[in-house]
Amino acid sequence: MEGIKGLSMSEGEFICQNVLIGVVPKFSYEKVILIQGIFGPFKPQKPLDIPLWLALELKRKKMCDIQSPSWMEEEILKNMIELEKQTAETSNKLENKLPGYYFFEIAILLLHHAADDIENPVVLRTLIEDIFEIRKTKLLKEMKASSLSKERVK
Amino acid sequence: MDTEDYWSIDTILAEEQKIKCSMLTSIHEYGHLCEAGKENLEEGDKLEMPLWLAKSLYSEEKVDIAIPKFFSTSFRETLAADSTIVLLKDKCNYFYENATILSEILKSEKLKEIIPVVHKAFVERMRMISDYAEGESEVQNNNMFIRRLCHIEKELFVHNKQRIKETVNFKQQHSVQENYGAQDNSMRKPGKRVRHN
Repeated sequence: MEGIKGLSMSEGEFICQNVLIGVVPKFSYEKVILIQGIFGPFKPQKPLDIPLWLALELKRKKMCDIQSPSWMEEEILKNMIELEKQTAETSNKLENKLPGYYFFEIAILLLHHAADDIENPVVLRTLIEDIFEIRKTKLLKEMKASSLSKERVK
Repeated sequence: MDTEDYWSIDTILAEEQKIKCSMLTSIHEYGHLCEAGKENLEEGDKLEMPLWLAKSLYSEEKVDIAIPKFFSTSFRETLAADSTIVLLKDKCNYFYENATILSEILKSEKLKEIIPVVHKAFVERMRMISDYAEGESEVQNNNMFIRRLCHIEKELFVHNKQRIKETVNFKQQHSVQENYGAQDNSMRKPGKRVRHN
């Protein structure tokens, strides 16, 4: 069992915040040198990409607005649900691919911290939970069907 | 569980399982392994030894391993009939580990027939475990369920339950807050009194 346990929810939540996200700062500052790279300079109303953890911190301090990612829209999410319902198993085909390995964590974090920057956050949240449930049932069915592999194909 | 890993604690514990063997050669002054007071081990003596010892002696052809009860044809038929009700913990707490090790070292071809049955049993029992992991807590009071599970299954069950709880907690903690930031007092100047509604 030693190597099998994988990431816990809080570890996943931590790691997922490394992705870059578009942000519109409300302040100005020169370039910052982070381990991940160099970001900035920050100019008011000029959008730029920064890591999610930084974006959430700045959002918490009301120093920026977060640009919602392209996939965070009702139509696109409803499309994803349709595609998931059509295929019997989770597949890695391009149309079915989730936008990112940590899709659920990022979506839920954004909806929690930046709900005012997103249209219809409550509707989106229900859609995201639907996607989660559908994929979960499909994965469980696959596992129970025949093979022993428990790979989480995201 | 990695049965090849020398340092794996699970394998070390699994290999403690006692296996009945019979000697193929004699060993001086180790009679006490067989029964107290005996001086030498003679050819044909029957004794019990842990799997890790039986393994190396068997590969050197000094003992012959008798097929243990949890590997016999009758047990195989019980498993094939309905694997989810078998009390694996009583039969052999490290059943899957031992089955893997024995199937690798024993030369008898007939034993290979048990492998698909064990494989299928594992999948069926995992099905049962994931169902119970999502179930209500009254199940935990049902001791019979946990008593059926062998060591690795129990770990997987506990692990499953924990992950499900973490996911539910995460979702609850991060509910959609339309007025996020309106009540955020973290950036108030120190010394200013914060009014709690």
